[in-house]
Amino acid sequence: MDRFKNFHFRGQHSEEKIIKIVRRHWFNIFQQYLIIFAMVFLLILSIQILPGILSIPTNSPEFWFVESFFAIIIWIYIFILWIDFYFDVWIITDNRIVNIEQKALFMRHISELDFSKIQDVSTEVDGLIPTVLNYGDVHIQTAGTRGRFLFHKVPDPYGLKGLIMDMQNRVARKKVEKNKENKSPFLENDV
Amino acid sequence: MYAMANTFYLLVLLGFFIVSLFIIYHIVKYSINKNSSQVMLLIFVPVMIFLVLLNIIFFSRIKLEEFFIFSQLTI
Repeated sequence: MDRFKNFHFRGQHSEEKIIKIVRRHWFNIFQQYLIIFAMVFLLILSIQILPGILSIPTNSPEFWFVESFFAIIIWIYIFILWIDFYFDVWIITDNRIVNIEQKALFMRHISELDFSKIQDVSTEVDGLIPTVLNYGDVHIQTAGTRGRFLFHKVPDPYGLKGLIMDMQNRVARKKVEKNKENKSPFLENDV
Repeated sequence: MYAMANTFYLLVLLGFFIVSLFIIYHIVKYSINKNSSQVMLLIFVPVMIFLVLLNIIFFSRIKLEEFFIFSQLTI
């Protein structure tokens, strides 16, 4: 069964099949959400403590207006961080890699790389937490002028590297087979 | 003074509305999976509406005339 049959991205070719969708490791969003946890904690703490300190009644509309105002800001901030995480995605299809890079709400960058242009794939797991949680960077050196293609803070970088190299070999084999099929029978007889 | 406070509050509400629209636009337009975009909308929109309505209710309950007299006295 096709795991990604409900997935579709802009620019996907009609016969193109999604093999894997990669997002940054959950620890990355957890780190960003630490500030949200702190803000929620402060909000709850202020509801408990502030009426006592400022000697204002707990049913004061001014107090609840300010609290609900900060709750809205926190809620919006939660989703801005979530969009930055969730829409920052690498899509591996059966013939290319598409990188959709989302930066907050107003910046979006899309790039793609054919497997045939890959020259070298390397991984980098740097630090204690990335080693324990098994996440890191995967660098792809390309043949073109674009230089490097980077998977940043992705889970299981070694597995991903293996998958990319496997796909690269598969595409190369397909290309050779296609060339053989297209070769003229006269030329084959000459050899 | 009250008109200024009301206008300023309306501008803040407009800001919330525009940011919310941007978030909804991203969820609808750029999601690669329609099911997850529906879930995200179902979480974001009702909570946002609830919080904004709550905020409007609390703002409407603030007695601005008392509030401004109090702040003038403290200054």
